[in-house]
Amino acid sequence: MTSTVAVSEPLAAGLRLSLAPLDYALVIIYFIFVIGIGFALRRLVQTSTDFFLSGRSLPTWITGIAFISANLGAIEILSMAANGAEYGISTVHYYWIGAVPAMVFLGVVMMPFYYGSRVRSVPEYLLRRFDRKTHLVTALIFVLASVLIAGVNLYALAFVLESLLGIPLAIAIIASALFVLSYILLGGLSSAIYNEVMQFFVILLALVPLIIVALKETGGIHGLFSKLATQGAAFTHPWNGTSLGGHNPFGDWIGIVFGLGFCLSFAYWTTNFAEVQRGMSAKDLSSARLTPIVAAYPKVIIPLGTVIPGMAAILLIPGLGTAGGLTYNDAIPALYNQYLPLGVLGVAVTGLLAAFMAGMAANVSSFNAVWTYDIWQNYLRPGRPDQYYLRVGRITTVVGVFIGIGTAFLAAGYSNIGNYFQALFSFFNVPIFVTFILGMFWRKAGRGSGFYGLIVGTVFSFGTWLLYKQGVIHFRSDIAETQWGAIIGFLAGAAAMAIATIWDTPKPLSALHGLVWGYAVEDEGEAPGTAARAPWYKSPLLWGIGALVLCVLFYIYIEISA
Amino acid sequence: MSSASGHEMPARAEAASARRRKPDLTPEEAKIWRLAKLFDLRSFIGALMLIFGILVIIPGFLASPATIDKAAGINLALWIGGIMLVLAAFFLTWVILKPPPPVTMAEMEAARKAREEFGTQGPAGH
Amino acid sequence: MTHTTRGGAPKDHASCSHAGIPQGRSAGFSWMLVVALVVCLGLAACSSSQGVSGQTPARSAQSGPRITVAMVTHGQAFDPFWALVKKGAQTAATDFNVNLVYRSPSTTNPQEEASLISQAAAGKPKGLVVTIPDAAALSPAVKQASSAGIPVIVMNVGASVYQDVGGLTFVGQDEIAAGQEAGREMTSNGVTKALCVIHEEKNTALADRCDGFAKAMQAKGGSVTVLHVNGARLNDAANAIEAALKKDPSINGVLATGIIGFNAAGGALQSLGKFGTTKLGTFDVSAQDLNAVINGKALFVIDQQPFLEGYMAVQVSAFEARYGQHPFGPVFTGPSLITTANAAQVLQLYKSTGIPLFNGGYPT
Repeated sequence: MTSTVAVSEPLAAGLRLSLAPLDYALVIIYFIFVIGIGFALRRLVQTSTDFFLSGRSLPTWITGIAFISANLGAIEILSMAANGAEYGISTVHYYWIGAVPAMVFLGVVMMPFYYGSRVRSVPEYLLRRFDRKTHLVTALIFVLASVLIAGVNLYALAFVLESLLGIPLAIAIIASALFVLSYILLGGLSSAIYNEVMQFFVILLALVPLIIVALKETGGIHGLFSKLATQGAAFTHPWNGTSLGGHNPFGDWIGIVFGLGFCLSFAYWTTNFAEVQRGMSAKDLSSARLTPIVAAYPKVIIPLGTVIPGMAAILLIPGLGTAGGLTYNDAIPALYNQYLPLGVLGVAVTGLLAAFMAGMAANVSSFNAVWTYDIWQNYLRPGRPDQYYLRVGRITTVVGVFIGIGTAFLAAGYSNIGNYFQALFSFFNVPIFVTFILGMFWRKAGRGSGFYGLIVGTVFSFGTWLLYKQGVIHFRSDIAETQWGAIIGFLAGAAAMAIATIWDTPKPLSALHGLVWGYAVEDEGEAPGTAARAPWYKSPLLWGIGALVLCVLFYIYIEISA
Repeated sequence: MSSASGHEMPARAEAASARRRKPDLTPEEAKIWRLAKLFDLRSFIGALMLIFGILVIIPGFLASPATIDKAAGINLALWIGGIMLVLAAFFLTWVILKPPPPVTMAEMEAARKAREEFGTQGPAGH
Repeated sequence: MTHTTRGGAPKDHASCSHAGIPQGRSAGFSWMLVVALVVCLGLAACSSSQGVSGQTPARSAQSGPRITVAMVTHGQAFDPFWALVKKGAQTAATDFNVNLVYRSPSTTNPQEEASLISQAAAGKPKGLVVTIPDAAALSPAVKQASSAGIPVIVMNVGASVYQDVGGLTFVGQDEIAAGQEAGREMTSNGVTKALCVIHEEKNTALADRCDGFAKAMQAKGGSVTVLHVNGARLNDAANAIEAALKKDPSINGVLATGIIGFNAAGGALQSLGKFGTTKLGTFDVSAQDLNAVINGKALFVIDQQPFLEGYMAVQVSAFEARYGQHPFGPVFTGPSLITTANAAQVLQLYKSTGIPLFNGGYPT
């Protein structure tokens, strides 16, 4: 028998959506709205009605929806469905363990720190808490990661445009990039946030038909799970096979709870600049704390629209995941192709494109913010007036987008590169988090220890991955390796910080005001104490616990239905 | 201000109802208020959902049995179009009934000063 | 650290737009944009040559001069079964220095296939591979091609008519023999009464499979009931199978004739809790039915090896065109029986190696 047929594209060739003029019209109308928002906000600014814009003035519903929307990128949507098709219901762990607890933690515990200490990025926090070398390393990593991942997002978007709609790759890359650039330059962060809220509804409308069709065709959740019983118990029971010797390819419970649920998830949600930035745009501390918690509720429900249709796809799209046919990544596009009528298809494609662009826009914003304020202002050209830095910010945005374009072409030439970048930067995520969280809760952490925690943690994360790839150590799957790699990176980084502290003293307590637990900033009515006076029905803790309870209920529901 | 219940209204409600009274705004402020209402995010979302809803629901009324059969026997266009129109009604009603409050020039200046002093999320300005 | 004023969006936008964009800055801006655009276009030009949809490079004439073989099938290119056939054909085209021209209608339509065959024949290829699902509609076009001197190979369906239309040989699976193989496997696992599920009306291949199955079962004293279900409505199909099984509790085997039927049958058996007692078998490979065999939920999968089918059809065609020799008699690529013994290995071959969009770490 001849060799395995190799597929070198993330989506299979041959899946072409046939869009009618009405569908294209819907896409174009949406893009007009996006640009329109940019112009409108610019106009508002020109007439000084900036009162209504971001900069600590947005209501909770807007920041909450923008928060979840910034995370709801198209790569995530498509790949959660792909994971559902490949690994089954265990994929929900990404949401109910791997997101909601961290979002609740961010809202209840971390937001007062960010809001009160007025640091605007994690690198800046590290500068104040530790020292310049910690800050520089972190800032450089953030900057590089943002711009390269923006390129990966751009490539993925262009690839989808090419394979689903037939637009040539080069044109898709450049046109998409210039479009995103224009709406960022026009309206800034406000424009990005407004677009994210608008996009959230469109994305929901892109997922709702999927869930309706998937459940109708397969006979509801119960019917779906019965028909998937042939795939083994782990496919329809999320905790089945997660004992240490078990066979659930998603991982074992230690990896899931501590690796995914704590290390990876907290690392992302507490340090991801785009997310935190949306919280910080809220009108007051209470609203900022509620932002991630408001966002947690859609997060609980979204797997119904991604994971469940992915699972249904393997029944409804014969041959999904088989060589020569469609790949798992094609699950959602294939369902669109097979079921959606005129008009609804246009909405779905609009949602997908919007999600891609917002992902790229968030990356570019992060790049711009960290480059301009953490690197340029701190090291390259300090002490200039604000005007100067705002101009630098605009130039940086443009440069960032063009670097992203270059990266996208690079990814087009070497199809695995996107994954390599994601893997590469994932090695840094957890060590940065270790540095951050220990800096926050352990006031004795020495001034230089952050740097060592970062380096050692990264080496161990990377080392685990390398040894796994070389076959020296064994994990059940790539997903399991990322979980354990995170745990190992965390422990190594923490240990390194503890050891480094022996030789190193922390900054004096006076300099740590507002940066360490127990020394929160008391700042005209925005102290954490004020939040306690908020009415009980606005308590972040209450709503946060509600979100966690909802997750538990869903787990129970899934177990019963299977 | 009427207070039927007889006890003191909480401060916030008092302010809101003060705003709902016909405001004494300068022409400049009135123009700004109109713009703020027009360009409120809810207006954008409502308008988008309205346009999308109409464009999607019309093919739904004209859908052939073959199209409905293709979509697992459900007239998806009707449902999705319907949901969008409901969302449109919700947002547009909301922005009409509870428009953003008008602000005076004085308030805007004060806010700007406060922001300058304490710094905002700087990267907003790109 | 002092509170440096970072300045908010409003301040900048207001002053920028009042003063207009300063000249120097706009000049610098445009210069940068131009350079960047040129760089991007350059990159675009470079990468398009190694673009996503690459061409099969022409090989040097190790297998003889490059010849053209046309392949016309009745299945949509989108169906993974036919995608595998096409993949096999393309692999053979590369190996044997063949220019493969592949055509299929956009929907199942024998008339359209007939006209595609005529068009392909008009191009005077050195070999023509066709499928004949509907002999009445397709024979004229195929006969015309074969009598014009083009060597014709019949593939996948049409084993009984290939000689009538002037075909040289048949490459594919004998469906009746495949059904018999299934029967043998079922009876040796203790099945006495079975249900044969046909999920697509007017598909002679599926009917042949059930015929062969019934023959083999009856030879060993068993019996078979044929059930027609609507494959287009998965849940209805599953309910119909469940109803049939409930009506006759003595049925201890279910044979699905394809992937869709298998999915429906799996659901029915799970609802009745009968996976241990009722044996399940199916035709045609998918990642799911192989997984089911590995998990012990299904007994076997019968594979007609579409990858080999496409490959052999092109190989035979090229050989005939270059050397004038061909097999005398059908070339059967199936039935290949996949059981727990070899399922994992076959799964490796059939599993898509599509690149995951997201490595399972955490999104960035």
